[in-house]
Amino acid sequence: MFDFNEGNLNSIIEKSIKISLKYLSRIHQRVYKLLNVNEIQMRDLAVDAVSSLFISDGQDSLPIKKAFDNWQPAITTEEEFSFFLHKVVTNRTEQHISKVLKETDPPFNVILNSMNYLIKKNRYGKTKYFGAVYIIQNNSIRISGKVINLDEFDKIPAEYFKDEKNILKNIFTYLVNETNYFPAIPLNALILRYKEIKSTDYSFSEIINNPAEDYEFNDSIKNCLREVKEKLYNSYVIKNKLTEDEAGSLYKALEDMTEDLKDGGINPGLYEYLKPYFEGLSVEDYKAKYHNILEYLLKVMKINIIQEIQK
Amino acid sequence: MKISERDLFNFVFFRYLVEDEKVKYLETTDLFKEEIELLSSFKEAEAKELPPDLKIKLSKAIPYYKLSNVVELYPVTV
Repeated sequence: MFDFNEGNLNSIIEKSIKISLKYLSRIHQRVYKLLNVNEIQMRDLAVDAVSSLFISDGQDSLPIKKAFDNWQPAITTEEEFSFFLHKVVTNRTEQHISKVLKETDPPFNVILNSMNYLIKKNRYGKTKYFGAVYIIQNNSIRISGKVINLDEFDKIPAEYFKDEKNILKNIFTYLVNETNYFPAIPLNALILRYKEIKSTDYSFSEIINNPAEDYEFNDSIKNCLREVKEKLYNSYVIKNKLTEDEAGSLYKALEDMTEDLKDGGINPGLYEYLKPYFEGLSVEDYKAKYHNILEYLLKVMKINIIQEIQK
Repeated sequence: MKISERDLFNFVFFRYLVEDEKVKYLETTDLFKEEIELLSSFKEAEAKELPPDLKIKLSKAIPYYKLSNVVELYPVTV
C-alpha cells in the first residue's frame, strides 16, 4: 500500500479526500462560523487541501512522498502508513483552513502573528493534535490526555484573555488549576475567542460613553473603503472598463464585505456579495466580467485594513 | 492514564495494537468520546464510494488521479 506507484496512488488519493472531507464536515462546519460554506464549497476546500499533497513542484517528488520519507520513526507496516496518512491529511486540511481564514479575515491574521510572537517570546511550543494546532508549555511535551474541547474553551472567563501580554500564561494557569484538561491551548479557537472578546469590548466602550477605540476601528475601515472607491473610479470608470452603475454595485458589495469582516470574516463566494446589486446576474457573467476586479479590490482593501490596524 | 493520539487511532482502526489496560479504559470512559467519534467517522467514510462528480473534480485537480468507471452523461434534446 505505501508504495507511491501509479497503481496505488488512486486509492491513496481517494482515501485522502475522504479523510479531508470528513474532517472539514465534523470539525470546521461546526466550529468556525467564518467558514460558512455549502457542501460544494466544502468539497472544493477538501480538493484544494488534498491536491497540494499530490502535485510535484518541478522535479521534486510528491509532497506526500517527501513527508513519508521524512516521517520518524520510519513507516514499515500498513497500520503505521494508515496513521501517517490520517495525520498528514488532517494537518494539511487544517493548514489550508488557516490559509483561508487568513485571507478572508485580516484581523485573524494580525492576531495570529501576535500569538506566534508571544509563543516564541515565552518559549512555549506548538504541536498538532487531530489536525489542529495546540500551544503547549514547551516543545518537548507530547499531548497525552484529554484536551479542552471548543465548547469548554468558549466558557473560559473573559478576564483570562484581557491581559494581552500574559494571555497564554493565564490560560495555562486556568487549564492547570481549574480543569482536568491537558495543558494545551487550541490556537485557532484562541484567536477567534480573543477576537470576539475584543469586539465585545468595542461595543462595551460605546456603552460607557468612551467610544474612542470603536471609532478608531470603524474609521480605519472607512478610510480603506474610500481608497478602494478612488481606485475603482480611477482605474475602471474613467478608463471605460466599467460603467458608473457597475462600479456603484461593486462598491456596495465591498461595503457589505467590510461589515462581514467586522463580524468575523468574508464568505469565500464573492458572487453572493454582488448578486443583490445586479438583477439577474448569472455566475458565468460574474466570472467573465467582475470576479477578477472584485477579487483584486478586495485584496487591496484587506492589505489596507491590515496596515491601518497595525499603525 | 496517558492516552496519546496514536492510542486513540489504533483503538478505532487497529485495536489489537493497543495495550489491554488502555482498551479497557477507553471502552469504559466518555472522556475521549469526540476523538473516537471523529476517528470512527473516518473509518466509515473509507468504506464508502466517492460520488462520480467528486472523482471528476479530483481528476481535474490531480494529474496522477485516473478516472475509472465514471461515465459522464450529457442532456440530450430530442
